[in-house]
Amino acid sequence: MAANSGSLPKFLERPTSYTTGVWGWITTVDHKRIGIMYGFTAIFFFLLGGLEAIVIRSQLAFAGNEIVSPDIYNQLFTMHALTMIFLAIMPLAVTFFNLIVPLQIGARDVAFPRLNALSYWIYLSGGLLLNAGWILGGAADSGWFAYAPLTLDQYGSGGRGMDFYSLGLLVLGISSVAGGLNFLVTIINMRAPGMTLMRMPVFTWMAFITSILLVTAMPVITIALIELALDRILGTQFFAPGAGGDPLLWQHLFWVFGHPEVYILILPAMGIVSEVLPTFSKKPLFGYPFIIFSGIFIGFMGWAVWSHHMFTVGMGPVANATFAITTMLIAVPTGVKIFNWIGTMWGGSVDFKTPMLFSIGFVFLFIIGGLSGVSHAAPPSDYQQQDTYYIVAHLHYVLFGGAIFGIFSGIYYWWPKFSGTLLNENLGVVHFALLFIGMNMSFGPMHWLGMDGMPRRIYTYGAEYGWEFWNTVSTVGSYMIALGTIVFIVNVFYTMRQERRTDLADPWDGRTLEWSIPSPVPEYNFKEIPIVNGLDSFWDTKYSTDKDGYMTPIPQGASDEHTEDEEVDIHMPGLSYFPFITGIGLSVSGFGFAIYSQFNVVGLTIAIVGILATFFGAYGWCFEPADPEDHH
Amino acid sequence: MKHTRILKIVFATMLFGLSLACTPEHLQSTFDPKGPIARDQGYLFEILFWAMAAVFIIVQTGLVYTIIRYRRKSENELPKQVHGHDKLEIAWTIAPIFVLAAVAIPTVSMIFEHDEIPTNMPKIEITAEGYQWWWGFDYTDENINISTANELHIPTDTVINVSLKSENVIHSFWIPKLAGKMDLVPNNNNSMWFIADEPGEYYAQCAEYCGTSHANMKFKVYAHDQAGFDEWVANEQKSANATLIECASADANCSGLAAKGAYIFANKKFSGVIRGQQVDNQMCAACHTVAGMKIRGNAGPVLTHVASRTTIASGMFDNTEENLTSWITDPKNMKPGVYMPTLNFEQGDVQALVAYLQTLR
Repeated sequence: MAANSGSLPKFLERPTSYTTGVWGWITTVDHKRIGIMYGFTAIFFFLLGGLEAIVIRSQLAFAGNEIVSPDIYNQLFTMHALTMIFLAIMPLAVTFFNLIVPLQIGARDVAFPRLNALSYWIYLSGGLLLNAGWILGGAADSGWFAYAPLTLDQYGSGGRGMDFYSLGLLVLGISSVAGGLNFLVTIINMRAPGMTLMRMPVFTWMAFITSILLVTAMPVITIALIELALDRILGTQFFAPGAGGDPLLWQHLFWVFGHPEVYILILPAMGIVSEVLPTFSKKPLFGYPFIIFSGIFIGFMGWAVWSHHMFTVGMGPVANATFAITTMLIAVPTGVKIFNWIGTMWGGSVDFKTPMLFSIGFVFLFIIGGLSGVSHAAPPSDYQQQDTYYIVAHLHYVLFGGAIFGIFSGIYYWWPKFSGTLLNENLGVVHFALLFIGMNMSFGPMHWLGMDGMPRRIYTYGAEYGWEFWNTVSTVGSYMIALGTIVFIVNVFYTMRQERRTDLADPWDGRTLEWSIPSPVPEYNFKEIPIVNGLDSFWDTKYSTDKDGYMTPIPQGASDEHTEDEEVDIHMPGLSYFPFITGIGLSVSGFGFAIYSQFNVVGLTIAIVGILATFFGAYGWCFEPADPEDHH
Repeated sequence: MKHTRILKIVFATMLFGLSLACTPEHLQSTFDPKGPIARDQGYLFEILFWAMAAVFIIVQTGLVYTIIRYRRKSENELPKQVHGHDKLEIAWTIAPIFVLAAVAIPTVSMIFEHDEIPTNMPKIEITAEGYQWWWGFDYTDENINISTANELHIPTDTVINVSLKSENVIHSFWIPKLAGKMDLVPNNNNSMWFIADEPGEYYAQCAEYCGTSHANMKFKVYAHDQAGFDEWVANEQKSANATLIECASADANCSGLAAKGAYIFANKKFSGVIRGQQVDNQMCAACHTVAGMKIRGNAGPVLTHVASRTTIASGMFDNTEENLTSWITDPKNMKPGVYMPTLNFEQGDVQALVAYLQTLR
């Protein structure tokens, strides 16, 4: 390598000097730093989506309220969903994939560190692209599932938001597929010796299944989005009804992606809960293989239920009956998971620390969301519930009570591993209480509102319908959620100002490999790659268990001989500019195409600049030496 | 002592909430079905609800009991390490299958049952067309053959078979007290049927998000006994106010405000603004039909008997002189996003148009 370094152009040399500062973050390929960037960016978008929700709820607090105009309201509910799904929950899950998966499988990084950085930069810039409409003539406003042909200009509000929708989601899809592939390869190839698939921690398993879903589901929506972008920008007729285009084509493509997407959102949270419940019960996960296989079954069945979003489009009785039955079948593996989680706590020593509170909250709320789901798995019942607030209630019990509670559980659980500090317990309990009460107050009444005939996505309603009281209650609940979120933010800032401790390597008496290494995690993760002898092999170094299941602690301390400052020479992937350039270039070209129909020349110029940047980034990436020049 | 006080507060709050929630009429409640389709659908929901409620109580009780019973009592607890129990796993995999089978059977049978239109009852055919953001209704049976908008009149104890059509975006036809919804999808011919048991006024609303004024796309259903329906049909079949129709032609010699309105409606051209775009040569009759007139526009609601309707703008406002005046003067101010132009009327034009429209009973 050193021999031909002299012939390389200067720009291909890998940067070596940045360890901190802005350039350190831009050029990093370290999975932990990328994970942290993912986390903070996703929390930012979570707050943005939350702000949108608060405006929506404020508008609906009273009958006939006019805080925002209908056009703004329609943008708000569309962007709230897009932000929460694509820019908050999915990236928060990827945050944990990045931070935790390599540590749980005993690896020093992911399989493709630069690809990992690329995923992040596309995510960040794609998220900004999706939101660019707010300052450039209107954000997306056709609902997050953007049913054709409302997405075409002649039927819409006249804003350019759907251009940012199609291009923004296209760009974000690349990030998701790259991330999914990366974690697939990482999990298949980079497990520590002895870690067979059935010794893999459940969170890593769920990351694995989610990655398969990401890689297989995103291409479907990519096709739909390309068709939409062509319709809007170049005037093709995929969805234009006047030219014979079929609006149902969009719905099928969207939901073939959209339903696996639901499991992309929930499986990582299920993985987190499956780590937290055993740790805080001091018991192994009950029925590990059943949890794994029900996860696989859910991921598989996710492909066979998409049309339950479309019971009222007129598919006919045979299709409706078929999808009703496949949908009900999904309740079986979900039930198996819930029973096993309760089984995990049964007979345990349940410690109500904040991560555990959020995980128990997850189980409690997810049961409600799952059960309400059965009532619209039955088409005749769904004909009354479809497109009402009943659906809004259901999806928030699953995605807020489910995914978000699971994610907060993970944040409190793994926070010490990367910061060397513990989030404050008292503030954590307050955060949990506000979120739990607020979420039930906000989304519980929506079940009733939906059955009382309130359609979703209406910017106003008349007092005569009798919906006002529960809407007011719901709005108060949403303010409690906002307050809880503020408590969490305060907790984060309060904790980040504290001094780092060195005694937090294993604060919860953990079971998996990430707790076997110091906190904060050193750059190389594991000084020596661990050898795995079974499920929960780190636990087995702390406790010996006899064949009846009774434990005795193994005296610790003998292994503390090597100190923190020991010099280690471990090969780590070098820094690189090119993921940043490639990723930003993609979004810039997407931006150019999105504004093309408004500003032809400028748009095309920006698009070309973006494409050139992408090609330049990819070129440099290909010929970049594997190691920094001065590595010796 | 303390607990009873908390309980009292909780119950008082709940009762207060219920009393508030129960005072207004529930205009679109699915729990108050007034026809067999909505009743069946509600019945299925009830089956599902109680089955799920039973599961909810059993599982949540198990969860709460577990975390209370096995809460950590001392820091040094070392619980027995149990990895699973195969028989238990099989049991709780199979048990839900029985519960689901129990609800799947009525579900599937109802899907097919509702697919068959009953043949032992009289039937009328209606085509419902969705527009942004209003409803058109055509009665296509030869002996009825009328068109109206935004208010659907039906006979009780009759199968109402509705063909659902849209040539713009997707809408959804939903009368909560009579039947669950079905979408109007461009290039796809959907239909649904329902029956109303008793005469009454039923609220209905577009359920599929369809753009700016989706929230304002409502309609009303009036169910009459057969005699009342026949009377309504007979009136609709007449062209309203035939003398004024004569006045609409340019060479007629009529006097009076309403006659002037008829003339303006059918002949006078205006410039104006539609959704921010300047337009010229706009004429009421180019978009709105009044049966009997020569020009029959169909971009806007049929106005043949507009004065007999209770609301205007697709259920948004009461049909009063004042609301009609504001509506014609500046529709975009009344209904966001509306496709009806704001026209440059001359002094007195609006007054004449309102006077004319109010004769169309």
